[in-house]
Amino acid sequence: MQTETLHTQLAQIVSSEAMTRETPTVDGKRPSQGVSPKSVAELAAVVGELHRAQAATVIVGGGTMLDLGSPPKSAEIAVSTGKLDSIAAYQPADLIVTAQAGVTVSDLQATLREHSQTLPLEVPLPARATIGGAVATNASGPLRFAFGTAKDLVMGMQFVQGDGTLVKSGGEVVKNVAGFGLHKLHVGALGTLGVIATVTFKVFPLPRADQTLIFTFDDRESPFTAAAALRAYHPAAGVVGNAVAQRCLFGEVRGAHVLVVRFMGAQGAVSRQVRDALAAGIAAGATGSEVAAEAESAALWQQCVDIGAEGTTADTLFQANTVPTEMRHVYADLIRAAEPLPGSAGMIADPLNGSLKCGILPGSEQNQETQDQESASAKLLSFLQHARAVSQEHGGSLVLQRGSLALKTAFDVWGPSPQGMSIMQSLKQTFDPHNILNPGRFVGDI
Amino acid sequence: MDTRELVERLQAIVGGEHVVYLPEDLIVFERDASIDAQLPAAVVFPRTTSEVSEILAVAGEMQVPVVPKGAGTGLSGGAVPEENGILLSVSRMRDILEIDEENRTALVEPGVVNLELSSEVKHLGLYYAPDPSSQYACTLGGNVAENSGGAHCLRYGCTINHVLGLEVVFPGGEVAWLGGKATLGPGYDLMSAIIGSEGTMGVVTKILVKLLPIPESVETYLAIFDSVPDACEAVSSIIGNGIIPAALEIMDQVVTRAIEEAHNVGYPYDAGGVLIIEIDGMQEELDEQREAILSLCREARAREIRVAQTAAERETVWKGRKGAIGALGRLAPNYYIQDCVVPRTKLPEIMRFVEDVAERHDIIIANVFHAGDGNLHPNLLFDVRDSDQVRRVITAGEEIISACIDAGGSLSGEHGIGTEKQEYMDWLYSDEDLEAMRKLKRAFDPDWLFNPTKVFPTGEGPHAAKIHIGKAPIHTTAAAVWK
Repeated sequence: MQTETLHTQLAQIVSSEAMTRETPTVDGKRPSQGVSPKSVAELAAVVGELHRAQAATVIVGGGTMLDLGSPPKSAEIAVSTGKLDSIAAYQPADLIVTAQAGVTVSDLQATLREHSQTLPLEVPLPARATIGGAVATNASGPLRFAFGTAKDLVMGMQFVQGDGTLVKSGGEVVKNVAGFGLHKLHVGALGTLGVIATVTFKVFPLPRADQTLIFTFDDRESPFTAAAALRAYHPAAGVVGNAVAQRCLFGEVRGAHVLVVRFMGAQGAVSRQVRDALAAGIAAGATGSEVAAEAESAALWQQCVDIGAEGTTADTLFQANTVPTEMRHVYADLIRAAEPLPGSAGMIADPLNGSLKCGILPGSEQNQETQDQESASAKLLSFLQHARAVSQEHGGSLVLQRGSLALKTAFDVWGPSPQGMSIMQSLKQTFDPHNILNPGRFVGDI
Repeated sequence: MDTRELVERLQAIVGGEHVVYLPEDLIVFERDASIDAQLPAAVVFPRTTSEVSEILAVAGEMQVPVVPKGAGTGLSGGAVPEENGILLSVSRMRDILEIDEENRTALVEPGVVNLELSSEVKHLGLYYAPDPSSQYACTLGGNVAENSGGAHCLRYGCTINHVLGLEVVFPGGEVAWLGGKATLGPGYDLMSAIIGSEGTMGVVTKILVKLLPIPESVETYLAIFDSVPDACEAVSSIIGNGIIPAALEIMDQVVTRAIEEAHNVGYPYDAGGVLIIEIDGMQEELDEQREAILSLCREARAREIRVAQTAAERETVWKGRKGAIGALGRLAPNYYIQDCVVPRTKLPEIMRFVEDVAERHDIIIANVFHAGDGNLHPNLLFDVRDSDQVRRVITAGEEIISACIDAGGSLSGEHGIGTEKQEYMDWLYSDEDLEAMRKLKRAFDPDWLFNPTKVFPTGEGPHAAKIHIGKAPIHTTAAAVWK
């Protein structure tokens, strides 16, 4: 179909103000037309039209995670969920909320907070990030040690398949095995199986107490020994950070390495946990310890997931996931391996879940000459290759979450194809037969 | 299909003694704990993943249906054989392969019994949280297939929240590892799609599960009410006040009396509704919750609240609860157990409705359920030899299902759809929704060989469900299955 014809068709589905020429660029490709459906029905009609036109589509929520994924094969139309921004149903006493995909994470949290409830899902840049995007990218943070990831929190979903069919999966209750878990399949699928239209989450009462401890260490091994010891006191979350990461977390460097631990729950219980944990941290070799002020604590944990996100000074970001007890080796190895990089690398390791986020800052001004730049790129590439090999050695994988187009061309964003790839290909083929949804951006060329 | 060829090929894979095919031997394999029955062509007992893989390759070549089976405690028919099919029993695959204390994980074969795992890791201060009432018999493989729940799901979640990895043999025989100790690997989350797929997408041959630390303190209360709706109001207000206990379980008078007769655990004989409340965690947390819970119960007109003082007393309370369904065998030759879920705030109203249904159709409905999750288990008691009773039970059951769906609920909280609820799936889902689920199955099972006649409506409409119930066996000794 001719581009102009398609635009006319789309304009017949949505109102004129829902059409825009201002679209985001994804890895150098900019869709010629943006469309923002105002209802789930409009969204389905738009996707149906794009299916008929076989138009490569970029799905945009808050636009905070567009860097995630391999470079798209093509990008003709951008479908934004930004106007699907209503909280469809919320009955606080049921601890269940259903919201449209374009509701921002902050807005949802603010509504929940009015009823002393929360969605324990940590998402980068929550003021802009949407719940649809958070689920599609499977965003999570250190709190998943206590509350799990999106797959544990999403109880139901409506999504629009690649052919424009609107489908419901799951429900609006906390326990449900009626039918297959299609909604779980859309978690982390980057919209390649369908466009998420609404999501139903299980939510939680806000904990009565929420305290954060910060330990400083001189060496890179002890924070992990301390984290292992502290696990006996049931932390909700914990991270280890190097000096560069600390500048993001605290705006200053507190020690060569820090271990930050969070306890949530009943007041009396948290008091005892904090007391016991302080002693255990010192026993494990901490050179300093403090209880973070409440105001500082929330910002600090948000920084842990924001590190390296869009709009920060880092231009390369990856996440390594390994067997949790192996994380100490991965962290130590990567800190050493990052030394030759022209720019510094901020690392936040999560010893409880077995994850490590590494944001790499560009090199300083004097390194900008062409030859240096080439060698800088080579060094970055070799660091990433090493980091992936180390992650695999320790039972895991590495995903490049942000990086330049040149880097993404040289370094496979997702790494080697996982097992079950042929079934993944079949799923893509059956749910998006014309391959219009984020084509080429997912694992194994999907 | 040539049964003889099938049997010979299966025997070549697992050895002659691990294939059952004579009609008189097959009879014991025709059922699970639901009401359906079907003889398979053969039952095969593989020991290893590669044997399972070879069996599935043969099934694919010969286009023979396959049904995987654990302990057969499932209530919805998921492990009932298919006609001319292979029943693949995992009962020889029952090793605990690895306990990783530091990462708090266990790697098990699918035939390991749920409770065995917790017993095995108790000395490390760890346990496996999902606890279906049949946990002393049901297998972890079956739990994965059904995404089983249990009384403590309220705080700890169901099977899907505790599985980290699966080794799966896909239809055709391809083996894949999904997930693992390292999480968030790239690709679609096939593992989560398989959990709860009721044996329709392949056979699970290894399971990596999370273990949790045993809570330092546990307290169990028995709150006694004049009616079930009153007990439901207590449940709603506890959760509405931001308290999520480990378990909130309600039993009505029919159930408590049956349990008393079977197990003599000390439930009051004249109580209209009994609520078991269990809280666990750190002692200070319990201290903070105790008074609030007790006063919310009193506000909901609890006439007495008993506190289990010792571990033995606590076990007695749970012994009664977990033996509840079995005890019903004393009241009627047959029971039809439902599994609907409603938003928890709708519980009092839906339970009044269930009472009304029982009265209008002149049947006994025994209620024992996971109130904290809004997961009902009305047991409609009947005698299959009385066709009028059968008719009334079916109508009553449909009214309850319909009311739960209208209340924003679901058809099944933890038992699965199987054959038992398949004809009601289109009450909950549109044709488009069901077609998407069929597409999902086809991506795994293009030849539609795995549990092929289940989960989806047959198109014959709800009357097909009547035939299922009409075929119910007369098991006056139902209790024996559950003891």
